[in-house]
Amino acid sequence: MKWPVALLVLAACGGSSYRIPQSHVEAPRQSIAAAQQQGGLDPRSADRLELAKYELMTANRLAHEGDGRRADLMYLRADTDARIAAASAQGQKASAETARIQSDAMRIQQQVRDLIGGGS
Amino acid sequence: MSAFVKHTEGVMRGIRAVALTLPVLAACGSAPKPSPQLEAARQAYTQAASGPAARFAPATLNNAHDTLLRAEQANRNGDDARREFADLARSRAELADAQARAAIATHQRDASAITLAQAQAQRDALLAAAANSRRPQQGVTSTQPPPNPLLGLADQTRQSANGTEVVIASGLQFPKNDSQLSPQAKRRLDQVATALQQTQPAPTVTIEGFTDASGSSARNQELSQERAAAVAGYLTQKGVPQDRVTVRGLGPSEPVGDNATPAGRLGNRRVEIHVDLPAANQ
Repeated sequence: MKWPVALLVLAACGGSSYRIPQSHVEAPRQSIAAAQQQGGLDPRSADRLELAKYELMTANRLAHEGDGRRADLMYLRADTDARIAAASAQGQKASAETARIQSDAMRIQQQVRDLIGGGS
Repeated sequence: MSAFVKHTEGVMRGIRAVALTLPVLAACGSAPKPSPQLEAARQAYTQAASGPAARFAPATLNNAHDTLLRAEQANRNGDDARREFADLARSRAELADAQARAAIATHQRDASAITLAQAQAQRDALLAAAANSRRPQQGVTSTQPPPNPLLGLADQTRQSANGTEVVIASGLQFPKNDSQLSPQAKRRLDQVATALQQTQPAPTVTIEGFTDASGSSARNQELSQERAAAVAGYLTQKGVPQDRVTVRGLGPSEPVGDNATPAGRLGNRRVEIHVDLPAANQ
């Protein structure tokens, strides 16, 4: 009599005994928060972050439906896409800063040339 | 006979070719066709591995490789989650690429910052050397705490027939072959103009322009006059009475720095403001 009950519970849980590691569940939230904290994301990075949020929602839904294995993979993907958003934003910001710094450096190097120059 | 042999050999070659090909065809037939997700994952990994990720994000790239192997295995086994594995592999390959590009951009920014700092240091050293290259002149006395604001701006003071001659020169250097006032010079002249206006009766002001020893005498004479005129024009624009100002271009005469060095030449490309301050005004 006990076995049929256990099977029914298992079936209600989607027939899966897959346990999602807690770290996999928490990682995308942390990565999304980290990407959001960067602020001023360029459109491409912002799109990637939105994708990560959507994947996190999907993972939560799959977990709720008992599809633990798919949910786990979706959590991992949400984490990865959030980290892509952060890395992409970091690269964009660094490139913009590089352009500004190089412009300043060129201006000062010209000043140096003017100071060193031999003309009267 | 020979025709029969040739025909037989041809048939045998055909049989052997079919026999060799059959297992391959059979294997192809049994291998599941890769999903578009797996194809995309392979392409993303290939792109990442052939780019800077191998050098700048090796751990993430290895992770992407392992995930791609899992995705290939899932595809072969007809795993329910094969598409999810493939999508994850693609994302991890893209992450390796993004991390590598971010690392390169950060490195370039840091390298540019070093270049900028070096340029700033070089410029500041040149300006400092130019300021230090001014030779002390005869009759110079140290400045006292300034009862008159002009004395507070003085680089040198000398005793004159009427009282004291104040010489203002620091911050009034020029780039080569140029008579445009720098922002630093304008800030200095703003202070001078204010101090002159506070001094009553208005003192006489002689503005002398100089060049370094490079170039022709005629051009240096002209350039030194232009430099002095630029300073005079700025001061009168700021309210100093024009009739109290005299302008002189002195070319490369009276160098204060060594014309053989860049810093010395910079020090010589200057304007000096001489204010005759009567004793009653001090």
